[in-house]
Amino acid sequence: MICKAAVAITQAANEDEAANSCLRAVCRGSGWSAGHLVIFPGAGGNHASHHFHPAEAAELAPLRQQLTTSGATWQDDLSVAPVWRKDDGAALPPAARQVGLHGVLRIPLVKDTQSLGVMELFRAEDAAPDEPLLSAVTEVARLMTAALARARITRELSEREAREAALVQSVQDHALVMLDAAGLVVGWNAGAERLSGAPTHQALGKPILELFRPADGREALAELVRREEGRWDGRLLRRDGTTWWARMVLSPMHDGDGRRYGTSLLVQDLTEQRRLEDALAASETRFRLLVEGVKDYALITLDMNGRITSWNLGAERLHGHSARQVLGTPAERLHGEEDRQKGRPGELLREAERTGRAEGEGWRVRADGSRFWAHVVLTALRDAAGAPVGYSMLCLDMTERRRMEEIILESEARFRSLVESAEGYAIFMLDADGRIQSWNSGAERNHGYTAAEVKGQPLGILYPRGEDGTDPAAAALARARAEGRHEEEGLRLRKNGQPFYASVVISAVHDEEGKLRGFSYVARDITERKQSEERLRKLAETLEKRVAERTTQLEDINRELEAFSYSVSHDLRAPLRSIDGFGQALLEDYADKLDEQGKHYLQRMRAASQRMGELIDDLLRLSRLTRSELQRQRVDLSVMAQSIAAELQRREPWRDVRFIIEENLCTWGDPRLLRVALENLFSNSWKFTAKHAHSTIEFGTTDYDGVPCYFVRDDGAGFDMAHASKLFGAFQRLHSPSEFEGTGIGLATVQRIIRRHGGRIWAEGAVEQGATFYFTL
Amino acid sequence: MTERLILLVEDNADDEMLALRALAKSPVQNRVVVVRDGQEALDWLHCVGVHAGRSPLEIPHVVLLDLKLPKVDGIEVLRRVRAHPQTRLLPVVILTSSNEECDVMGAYSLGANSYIRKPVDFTQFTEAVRNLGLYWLQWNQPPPVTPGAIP
Repeated sequence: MICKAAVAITQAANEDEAANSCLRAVCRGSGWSAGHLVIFPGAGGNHASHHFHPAEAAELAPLRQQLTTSGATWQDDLSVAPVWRKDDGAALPPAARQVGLHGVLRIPLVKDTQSLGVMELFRAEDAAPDEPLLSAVTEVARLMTAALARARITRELSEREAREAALVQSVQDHALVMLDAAGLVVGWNAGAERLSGAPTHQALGKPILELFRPADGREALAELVRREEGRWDGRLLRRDGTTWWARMVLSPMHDGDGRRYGTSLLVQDLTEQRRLEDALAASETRFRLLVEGVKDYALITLDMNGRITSWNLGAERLHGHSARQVLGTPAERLHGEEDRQKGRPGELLREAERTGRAEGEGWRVRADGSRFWAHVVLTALRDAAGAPVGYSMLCLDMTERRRMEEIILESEARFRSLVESAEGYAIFMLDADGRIQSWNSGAERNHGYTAAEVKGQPLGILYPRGEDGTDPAAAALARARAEGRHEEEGLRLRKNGQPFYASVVISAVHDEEGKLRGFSYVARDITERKQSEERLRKLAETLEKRVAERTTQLEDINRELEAFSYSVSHDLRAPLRSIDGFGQALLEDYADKLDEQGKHYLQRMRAASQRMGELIDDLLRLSRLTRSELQRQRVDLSVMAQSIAAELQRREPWRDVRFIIEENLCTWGDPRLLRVALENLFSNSWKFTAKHAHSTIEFGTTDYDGVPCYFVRDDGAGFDMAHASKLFGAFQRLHSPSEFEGTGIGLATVQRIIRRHGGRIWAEGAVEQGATFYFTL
Repeated sequence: MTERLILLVEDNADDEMLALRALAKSPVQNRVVVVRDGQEALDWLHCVGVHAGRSPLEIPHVVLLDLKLPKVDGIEVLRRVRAHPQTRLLPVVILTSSNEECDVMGAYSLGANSYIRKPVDFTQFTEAVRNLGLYWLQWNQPPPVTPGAIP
């Protein structure tokens, strides 16, 4: 049985065939009713493979089914030795009992602690197998285990080779090539395809130097290939004739027994690396040229003893020495005499040696003996191992800057003295927290504090407290901080607590980075100005009050005047009516008792009262002119004059009066008032020409001493210029009522109307030679 | 011809006498009731106060109203006359010394039927009153007296 099994197992083409042969040999050779062999999956395997004997027996199908789906009969047993189990409950699968099998022998297939599978043998009787059977079966199991182990190793080896080949194949960046002993290609990866441009099927079997063709140094490379070992850097030709930089590394390949079977070739693309190296070299060159070419800075290197080892153009320009003159000489000679005496050059070198870097400013001497102010930076130079090898010295001409600084310092000093002498102004600086930093004499004079008293004090000591306990100084500083500048007029305190008015500008002061450094405070004592402003304000107030008073007075007068007019209108006329009325009553009722003289007296009384009535009416008319509002509009004076003339002629058609009225005399005024004025002037002329048989009345414009004006002229009675001043007075008359009737109010009315229009009226005349009235509007 | 009734509201005794003299010369037969202040005029017209017992059926053909009056002035009298249903249509003629614009405008805007300024010249005054009497008492058709309007 063992021999048959051994032959079957060893002759089997694979594991599965071996398993089936093994089960068949065991079952037939040692009387087992059924056998089950499980091969566990190896690393990377998916599932176990089940083998059953006799596979074709229909009556055993339930057991085969169950074992194939549920795996081994039991899995809790980790023992490596064969185990016998009989049907005593749950030990056997139900399907075994079902098909009449009551015992099972389980043999784990274990090799070097690696569990490869398990073999289970079933039989009907539940008695344990005897020793010879057990050992025979165990021996077959051992053979089977060996077969499985071998199969697994073989499988794993081929899998690894495939993976490695795939790995090699997949490398893209480098060409990996395998050459046989004759130097022909036997292996060709993707990288080789890419770099050479030759696909694998073309490359295999070809000499390597036909695939990677050197642009130059072909012999050296061929020698390497012959030697099968070495490294070569050079340019290879592409198919299109261009070249690329490559590195080739050849190594011999040995098998496990140390026999050479070929050469490995690694080809690396160096194009990018070469480019970087070239760039670096170019950059180094540029840097060297830069250093040499720098003209504004002296770049000098010194050896450990302070002797000059390099000297750029800047150094030459700055110091006036050529490189030839100074190379190898001590750098000390570049320093000014004072520095040399104080040992400054040595100090700087030692400091650079100690700290790596030294910096300083000082006078330098040029070749012609002149000096310049230099800013110098010394750096200790060390080699790769950190050992000191010398110094670099960077030197910059700061003469101009030093001069500027001196100018600035001087300007600051001047500014300070200016600030100090600005007595009318308090000028001082505050720090960012609002504390007083400086104090000029103006500030001392305005506030009464000395500089020592206020320095470091908050600005608030100069301000009166706000009524609601606020800090007005802080508020002012906050505004200056926010807006850059704060301007105000307000109260400040003197040291004795007395307040005064100041006009103040607070400006925020920032450094170059925009950080708040503090504030400037400039103020002027404006108490005097405030006082005069106050006086002015009071004066204006007084004036306003006076104006208001006068206005009230005028209004009162106006009201009184109106009341007076009203009263005149109503009350003054009543007694006149009584005199006149009762006079008439007397005449009517007592005519028989009065003689002619008495009747005449009564007539005189009545005439007088009637005349007084007219006077009152004229007076009222005049007063009304002053009171009514002026309503200005376009007025055609020519048309107005025509209508007045027509009215006059209509009233006294027997008069022979010729009117000459200029056309289109238009103006801007109150038509009602202007009509009253023209009516009065025309009536006047009409009246005073009454005694002439023929007369002319003219209305037009003329030029009186350069003043354009209107005129109304007649050739009537005229007047004596000696009385011209009385013409326009109310109730002033130049003629007696017996000569010419009238109340003497007409021209006063005209004058009032002309004046209300902003114009002027005057007259010229001579007795019996007519009169001319001129007016402007 | 029946006697026509005139209510003369006048505080000045001289003016009253002159007006009565002028009215007496009127061709139209008339009777004049004189009251001497605005309050009395209203009392008489509305039959209240001192004139409470007066017959309301006695309605004047015209009221001659002075403006400047004691107690209640003429303008106010006119306003109340026009506001009262019983007298709102009553012909009222202002007879006064003033020709101030405010007086004339005030009277007309309150519904005065006529405005006459008393002339100083008594001849003219007489003429004016004579014409006035003729016009208002003879020619003018007064509004009908509606019994419903009498309280």
